[in-house]
Parts: sequence; structure tokens; C-alpha cells
Amino acid sequence: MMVLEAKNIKKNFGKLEVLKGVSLSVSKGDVIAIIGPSGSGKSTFLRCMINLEKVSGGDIAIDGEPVVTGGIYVKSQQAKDAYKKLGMVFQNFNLFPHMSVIDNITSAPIHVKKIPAAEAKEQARKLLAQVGLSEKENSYPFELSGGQQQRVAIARALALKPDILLFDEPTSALDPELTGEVLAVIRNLAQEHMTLLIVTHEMAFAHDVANKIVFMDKGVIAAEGSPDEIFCNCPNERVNAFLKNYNQ
Amino acid sequence: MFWTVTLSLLEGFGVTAKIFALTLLFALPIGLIMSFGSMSKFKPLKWLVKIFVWIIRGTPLMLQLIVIYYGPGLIGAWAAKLSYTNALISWIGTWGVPERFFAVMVAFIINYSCYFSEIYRGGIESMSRGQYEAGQVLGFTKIQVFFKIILIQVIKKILPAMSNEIITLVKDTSLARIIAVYEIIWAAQVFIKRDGLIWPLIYTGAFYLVFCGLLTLLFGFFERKLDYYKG
Ligand SMILES: Nc1ncnc2c1ncn2[C@@H]1O[C@H](COP(=O)(O)OP(=O)(O)O)[C@@H](O)[C@H]1O
Ligand SMILES: [Mg+2]
Repeated sequence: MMVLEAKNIKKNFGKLEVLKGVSLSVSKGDVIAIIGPSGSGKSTFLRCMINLEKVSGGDIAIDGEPVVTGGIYVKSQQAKDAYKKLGMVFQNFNLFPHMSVIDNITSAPIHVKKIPAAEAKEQARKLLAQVGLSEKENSYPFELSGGQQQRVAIARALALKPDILLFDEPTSALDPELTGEVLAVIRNLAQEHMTLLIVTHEMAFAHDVANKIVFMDKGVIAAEGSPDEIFCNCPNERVNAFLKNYNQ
Repeated sequence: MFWTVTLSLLEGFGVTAKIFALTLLFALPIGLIMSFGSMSKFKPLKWLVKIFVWIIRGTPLMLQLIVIYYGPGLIGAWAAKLSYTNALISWIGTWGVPERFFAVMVAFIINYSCYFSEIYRGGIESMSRGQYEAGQVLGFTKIQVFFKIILIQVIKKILPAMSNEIITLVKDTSLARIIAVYEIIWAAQVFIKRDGLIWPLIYTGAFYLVFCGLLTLLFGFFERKLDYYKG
């Protein structure tokens, strides 16, 4: 079964058509990289998937549970709960500045999932070890580098045990020397067969880690395929033109 | 004489402190509710609140006191046959609250709610959208997002402006004597009229200074409490 299935998603902001019928199926264990020029609708698509934007048309099902059918949002409790299977990591981390690292990670498990605090804390420590920040549990976000903040944000999203994790340009706000540590964490998740949907401009990383590349342009999927298909002898001019900029 | 004056001023200061405390007690939460109104997506509500805030912030508190105290009476005379105005006034009386004091509290609470609402609005609107979005994708309800994520950050941001406004409130309480509510300045004026003494009036300054000093210390304490994080 598909963990996430989007069919013919449309989205406009007023008169501006940003998504013009985007369809994407994500199976369990997929690592899908979404690439494409800025303004092509990549972020909007991710945000529509996790209900940060309302679609204007199309269908979305999460783990087989329809949450949007024919552009209409399903109002059942099941549909609401389905969104809990999605996690998201933002470009700007969006950590809670007034909470310590460990509180950032445990707050949703404690207050949303109602997990006992001690258990949530224990789990958070495991996640911090996984992202290599065990010694930072009592630090505050302002005391961390961007790369460290983003790794905490990943741990925070993982603490809710999502079925899919969405990343919107997770390294774009980082200094170049800090992107590696974040990409390494994401790479580990991919190796553990976590289902990932990653908007990124890191082409080499996308090539390595993804089993499928989606190229978006002007609100549509202009090309999709395996990394080798997209990055090697791609027949699509727009893809080639776009990639050429990145290979310079 | 010094002790007589001090005791008398203390009595007046009791009323000053009561106006101060009751104003905060009501205006702090009412201001928050009003700030939601002024940020509402429902345009008529938003404009209603904005116009109300404009009127209250755009006219002197002294004028508002007079209108609220004498206004109902004037309307009462104009519409003497409307028995419910009289019923309302006597209903307030049954609470054992002196009319004058009641009018002072109404004016102060309305006035300060408007000022606070603008401070809250500024603080809330300065929060980045990412904080709400992070809360939402983690599954927090809107109410949880506000109370667990937004509120503390807003408090930290607005503390300096709030401390200013609250210290202004201390001194604004002296306006109550415009409608003959016995507060500390009024208490001092009694000595001018009765004994020809001017120093009790100047002495009131010490009460204000000490009170504002304590508030400054208190706010400094809160600011340090919230100093543990930045951002
Ligand atoms: N909230 C919004 N209101 C209006 N226009 C928006 C909004 N969000 C995005 N857009 C527009 O939608 C288009 C696609 O944006 P986005 O999805 O962020 O692209 P990408 O992530 O591929 O760079 C852009 O033209 C952008 O200006
Ligand atoms: Mg984007």
C-alpha cells in the first residue's frame, strides 16, 4: 500500500496557479528527492501534503486513508489522525527557542501522544545519540550551530515516529561547511529504510540517497525517474538546463 | 503631624493601589481578548475593535473618566422615562460599590485594555509563522500552540513595553480625583485646604517613587527569569 498518494494536486494563491496537477505516489521505504528551480512549487507541494496549505483540487490519501477527495477535505477523526503519520523538517529549523534541546524533542510526545515524561525523555536521549548530540540535551537552540539545530529538529520530528518524514531544503539555511553533518543524518535514515520525501538543491546527495528523483518546473512534474535516468542521459532539456547550473 | 499625614496618605494610597491592582487584574486578560479581536480574520470585528482602540487611545483618560461618570446621568436625564437606566444604576449600588469608584474602574479598565491589546498584538504579530507551523506539524492543537509555544515568547518580547505601561498606570491613578475619588493626591490636598500645608502633597511623590521602584525591580526580576534563552 502507498504511504502517501497525491493525485492531480492543484493549488492557487489567488490568481497565481502554483501547482497545476501534481501526482506522486510514495511507497514504504521510498526515498524521493524533489528538485527543480526556485518558485516551481516544491515547498507548496510539501506543505499541501502535511496540511500547512489547503489544496485547491485533487486527492490525497495517507496510508490508504483519504484525507482529501476531489479537492474536499475529509472531516473525520481518521483523516485528522492520518496527518500524525507525517513529520516535517523545515528549512529554518523552527525549534522552540524557549525550550531546551531535550524539551523540544519531548514536548510533542508528552503533550500530544501523552507518553509518560520519563519514557519520552529516554527515547529523546536515544534520538540525540542517533543525531550525534548527546552532550547537548540541556542546551538551548541559540547555543547551537545551524547544523546542530537542524539535527535537533530532525530528532524532534522522529520522536513522534512518523511513517514519512518530509524535508523542505533542510540544508539551504546552513553554511556550506555544516551541510555535511545534516546530510549524514538524513543518509542514515535512508539506510534504515525510513520513508523520506526531500526537497533539496544538493544534487550529489539526491543522486546518492534517493531511489527516485522528481523534477518540478512551473507547477508540474516535468520529469521523474531513477537518479541515473534523471542525472545521466536525460532527454529533457529543461532538466538538463537546470542541472547544468548546478554542475558549474 | 508627620505621622498624621503619613497615615492619611497611606489611606489614600490604599485606594491608589486598589485602582492599580484591579485595573491590571481585568485589563491584562481583556486586552488579550481584544488583541485577538484586532487580529481577527472576520473584518467587521477587526474594524470594530480597531476603531474602539483608536477612540480610547486618541482621547485623554481624564475625558473618559468624566464621560463615564457623568455620561450615564446625562443620558438618564435625557431618557428619564427609560426605567432600565435607573435600574442599572441601582443594581450597581446593590453591590456595595460606590458609584464614583465604579466609574473610575470602568474607565481605567477600558483605557488600559486598549493599550495592552496593542502591546499584545505587536508581540503576537512579531512571532514567526514557523513557530505555529512547527507546532501544528507536531500535532499540537491551536490552543496548545498558543499556550505552550507562543505565549512565553510573546511575554518575553513585550515585557519592556508592559513595564512602561504599568508604571504609567501607577501615576495615572491620580486622575481618579477628577471625579472626587479619594486617592493619595486628594488625601494630600485635604492638608492644603484645612491646614495650609503644602509638603504633604510633595510627600506623595515618595509613595509613587517607592511603588514604581518596586515595580521596576519586579520587572527586572521577570526579565532576568526569561533571560535563559534568546530569540
Ligand atoms: N503563501 C503564499 N502566498 C502567495 N504566493 C505564494 C505563497 N507561497 C508560495 N507562493 C508562490 O508560489 C510559487 C511557488 O513557491 P514555492 O512552492 O515556495 O516554490 P519552491 O519551493 O519550488 O521554490 C512562488 O511563485 C511563490 O511566490
Ligand atoms: Mg521552497
